[in-house]
Amino acid sequence: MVSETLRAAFSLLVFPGLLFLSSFGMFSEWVDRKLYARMQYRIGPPWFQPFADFVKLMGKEVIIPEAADEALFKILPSFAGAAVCTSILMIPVWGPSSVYSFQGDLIAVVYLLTIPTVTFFLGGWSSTSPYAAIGSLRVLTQLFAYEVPLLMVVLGPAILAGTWSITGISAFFASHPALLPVNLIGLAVSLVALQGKLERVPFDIPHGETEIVGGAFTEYSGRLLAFFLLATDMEMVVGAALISAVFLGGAMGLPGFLGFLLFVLKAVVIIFILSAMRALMARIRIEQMISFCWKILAPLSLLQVLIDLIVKGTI
Amino acid sequence: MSKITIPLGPQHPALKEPGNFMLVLEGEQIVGATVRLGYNHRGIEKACEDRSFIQNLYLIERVCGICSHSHTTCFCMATEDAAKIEVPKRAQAIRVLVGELERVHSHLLWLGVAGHEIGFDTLFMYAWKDREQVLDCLEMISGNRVHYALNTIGGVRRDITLEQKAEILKRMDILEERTQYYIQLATQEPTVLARARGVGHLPTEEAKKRGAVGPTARASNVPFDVRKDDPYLIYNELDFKVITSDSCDVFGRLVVRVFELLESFKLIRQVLNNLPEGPISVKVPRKLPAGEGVGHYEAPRGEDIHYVRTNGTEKPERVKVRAPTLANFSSIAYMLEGGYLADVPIVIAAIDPCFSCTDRALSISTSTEGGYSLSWEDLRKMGIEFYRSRGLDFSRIAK
Amino acid sequence: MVRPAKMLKELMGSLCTEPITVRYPYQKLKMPPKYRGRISCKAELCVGCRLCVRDCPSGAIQIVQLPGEKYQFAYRSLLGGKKVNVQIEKPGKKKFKAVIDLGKCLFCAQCVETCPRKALSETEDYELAALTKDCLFRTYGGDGKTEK
Repeated sequence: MVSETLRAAFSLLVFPGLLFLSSFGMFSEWVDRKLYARMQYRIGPPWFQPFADFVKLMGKEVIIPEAADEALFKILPSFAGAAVCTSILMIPVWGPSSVYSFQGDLIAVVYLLTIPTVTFFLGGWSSTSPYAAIGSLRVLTQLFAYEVPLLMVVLGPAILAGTWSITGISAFFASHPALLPVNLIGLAVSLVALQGKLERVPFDIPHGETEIVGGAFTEYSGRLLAFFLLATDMEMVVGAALISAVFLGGAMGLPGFLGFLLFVLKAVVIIFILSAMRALMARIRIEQMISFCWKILAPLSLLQVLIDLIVKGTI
Repeated sequence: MSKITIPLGPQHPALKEPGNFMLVLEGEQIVGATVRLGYNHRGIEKACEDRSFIQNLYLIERVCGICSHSHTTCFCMATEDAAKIEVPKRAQAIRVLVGELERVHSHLLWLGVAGHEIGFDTLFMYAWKDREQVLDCLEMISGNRVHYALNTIGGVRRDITLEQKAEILKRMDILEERTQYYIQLATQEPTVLARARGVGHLPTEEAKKRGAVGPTARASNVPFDVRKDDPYLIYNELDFKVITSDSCDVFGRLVVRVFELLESFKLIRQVLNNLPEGPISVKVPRKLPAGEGVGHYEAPRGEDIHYVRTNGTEKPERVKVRAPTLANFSSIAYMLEGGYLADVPIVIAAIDPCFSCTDRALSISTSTEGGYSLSWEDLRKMGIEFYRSRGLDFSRIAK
Repeated sequence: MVRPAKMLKELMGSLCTEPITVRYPYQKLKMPPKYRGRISCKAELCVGCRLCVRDCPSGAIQIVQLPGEKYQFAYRSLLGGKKVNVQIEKPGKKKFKAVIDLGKCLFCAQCVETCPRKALSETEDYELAALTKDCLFRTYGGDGKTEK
């Protein structure tokens, strides 16, 4: 009984929970910033920069607007972090199996990843500042744009694998690696949708720095902002882990530490692709994003589901 | 949907200098915009009256950081016009050379700033990396990267040596290749096209009515360029085209500026290869004879006008500066209305605002004694007479 | 013709190239000759005409006459027996020192041009930040170049 609780606490707080996720999140933020800088002929930050930023923000004063709802304002960053930490428990990190897995945890993970977006919206809305209000409206509008393609496109491999659990999907692809190229369209669509979820250029409309200052985060400062930014970093790791488990076969059947190394490698490759996307393009407007997502991404994800159905029927 | 008023206030990441735009928003659309200036007024015109002409050169230079050479040259031209001083040819050629290098500098800087405003930070970094080439040229010629301080009343202060000429020509070749790359990037990258096409529409009639100048007007198909219409220094001997575009939007302004870069490279090569011999300045007395003079110059942002009145002492009596951004400013309110909030930064950045140049004081006198007012007809006749005495006939231009 | 991801080739190329940013202060760039850095003065050439003071746009330069050397001797007055000290200025060139306030200097080098004796010159020194305002006053002359 005690060892069960200890094991649960360990996996929730240390690995692959809070401590691992936050340090891997900071590491991936460093990789992203360093690659982004090197693509622009700059030097980029040293390896401890995200950690230094976190420590600096923790030491700053927290200023809460007078008209804002104080309790809601303060608790939202913790909600975002908690949702992301819970979702990593269902994705295989150490070897081919995750800490908890059950049928339908694919939908649970995508749902849990929506919670941070809703907390951004509530955080901006409760700030009662005009910039934050516009930013939070944009967060929600953007959610309606990318969420549907993201959800539909992860259904494709699930149909092919015949199971609703992430561990099951990656195990299926580990044993049938020849079926991986079937989901190429899905991989591309999911990477673009992930860029939208993480609110990075070209989809960083909710945080459009030159337009609405800070978007939903305008009034956040100090340790609340530190936790919100940490939650965004952790979301990047979880998103990369989800894509590598569903589309790239996860740990490919390798046990223990080797599987973990493969997971790290795949996550870094996905972050490299995301950084390149960030460096390549300009920010588009919100209505252009909605039309892009509904006119191009959603039909492509439907096409992917169709292809998976056909391939499932033939094998 | 209810309307909220957002202040794109004096402090905002989109603005490089303080200016206030009160936007009335309905959702994401702008239904009303009020523009206000005045945050950068430093009293330069009054300060000029207290300093000698030599000291004023450096004060006028600091009206703006990027178009500093334009302001000094315009001031020198106005003073030389007032005191009837003839500037040697070599000095005029060197002024043109530095003026065109400054235009290259300013347009590359604008390209980076426009990229940053639409969220394209990579274009920002790349354009500013290439700007280093032209800054190195200017540092070599004049001793500083901005505020070149090359002009003096009656000529220039430093000469161009043969090594400097070779170095500049080499760098112009590098820059020309990069500019061709930017032309391709601007016309082929879909996100840039999505943000720039159809944004900030300013039709030709509105541009003429609101007095737009510079690339803003040329992008709305108003072919107005001081270098061709009222040639100064040695521009009447140089061969270049006036670039216009008829798309009347931000994309047109981007295209006009990038093609103007190519024309500037052509001009720089022409000047360097045909630099006239001679002295670089004439000796000018400290006390200038009384008179008034107007200097007219095509700054990177548009038409720059300086007026100087001398009264026989070594300090000017009155200096008036009309910077190009003031002429473009009333077009902003027109372009913002009906657009989206997301377009506000790029629309403002597309006229290349320099609010530091723009802030001047206007004194409104309530007494009507001792003054006189000119009707439009009289003003037009006065302008025609002024230019007729200089050999140009504008009487056939339609009202 | 619209080409998405137009910059991809250039981005991948720049990943393999050296960055162009300079790691200041470990690496420093060399300034070209006649760069307008700190203005320096050879006080022995100064004649005290103060044309530079007149032409400076911001009043950054001051020329101070140094007290010259004097012949000193004392004699005892024949009446009364009091000792009297006499100081007579040595004839010869007057000496001056120049004090430049870096806080006001524009580095425009107009004083360099105006000086009829070419006593002032531009240097390539641009690292002029100081922690106290006193350090911004640089004195040239007097007992060699002294910096406070």
